[in-house]
Amino acid sequence: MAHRHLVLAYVITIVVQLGYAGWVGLKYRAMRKLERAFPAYPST
Amino acid sequence: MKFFRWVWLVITLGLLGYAFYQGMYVAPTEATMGDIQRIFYYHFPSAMMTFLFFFISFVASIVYLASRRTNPQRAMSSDAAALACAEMGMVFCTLVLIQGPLWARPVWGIWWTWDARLTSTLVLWLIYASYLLLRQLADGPQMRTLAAVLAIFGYVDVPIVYFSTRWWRTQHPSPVIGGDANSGLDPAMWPAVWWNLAAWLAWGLLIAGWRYSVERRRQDAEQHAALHALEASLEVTL
Repeated sequence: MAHRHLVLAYVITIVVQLGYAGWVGLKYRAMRKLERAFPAYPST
Repeated sequence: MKFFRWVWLVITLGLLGYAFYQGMYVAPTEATMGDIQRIFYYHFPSAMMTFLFFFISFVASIVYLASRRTNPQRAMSSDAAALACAEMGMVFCTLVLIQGPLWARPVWGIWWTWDARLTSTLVLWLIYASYLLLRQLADGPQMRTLAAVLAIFGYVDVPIVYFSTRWWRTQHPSPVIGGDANSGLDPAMWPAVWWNLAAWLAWGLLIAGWRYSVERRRQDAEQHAALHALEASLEVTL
């Protein structure tokens, strides 16, 4: 049981961290979409 | 900036791989618990990163409140930093709450107990979950002010979590690092601890830094969207 828990804890750690990184990636895509839809006004 | 982030990513992945090797293969097996003790090499860094990122969120929230009227640019970047670090801290805190029971079950024979360390950590998780929910469900300057206040008051729980094993008798062991005279780690275990701390710190800074830049650009894009909407309404009026 101990080895299974050790491996499971490590796998969950990696999956959660990568999951969050993926979620930030989705946020990045949404932000890029917004940037393209509403470009900045040229500074005068 | 993009090139720097890619270099940082490569270094971080190298560090994570080496830290894993140190924790799983190089560090000696603990005498009483056996191999399950190796969870320590990512449970402890996760807890430290939780404290660190919530601390940065706490400081950024203070800066936001202090500068929201005098320096809007600094206030907005502080708000983005507070959000990015609260999220990163939340990820690490979630992992602490998952890794802990997975370690506890084979060692204590139970998944969970309502002792001071475990309960205060769960309370910390709930406080920052409410912070993120607030940010998700509301918008505007009032939300940002309220979120900053919540992050500041929520941080009060961090010292309670840290000192809980010193202040109260808990199922969770007393501090191994910086504890009493009988505590301490085998010197052969320290490299694995340091490598894992460095690796998870590098990872946390990389992802939180990315999240921060995404949030800053989103704030700018929202301002541009508001200007476009204003322009469109003026055209209709004229």
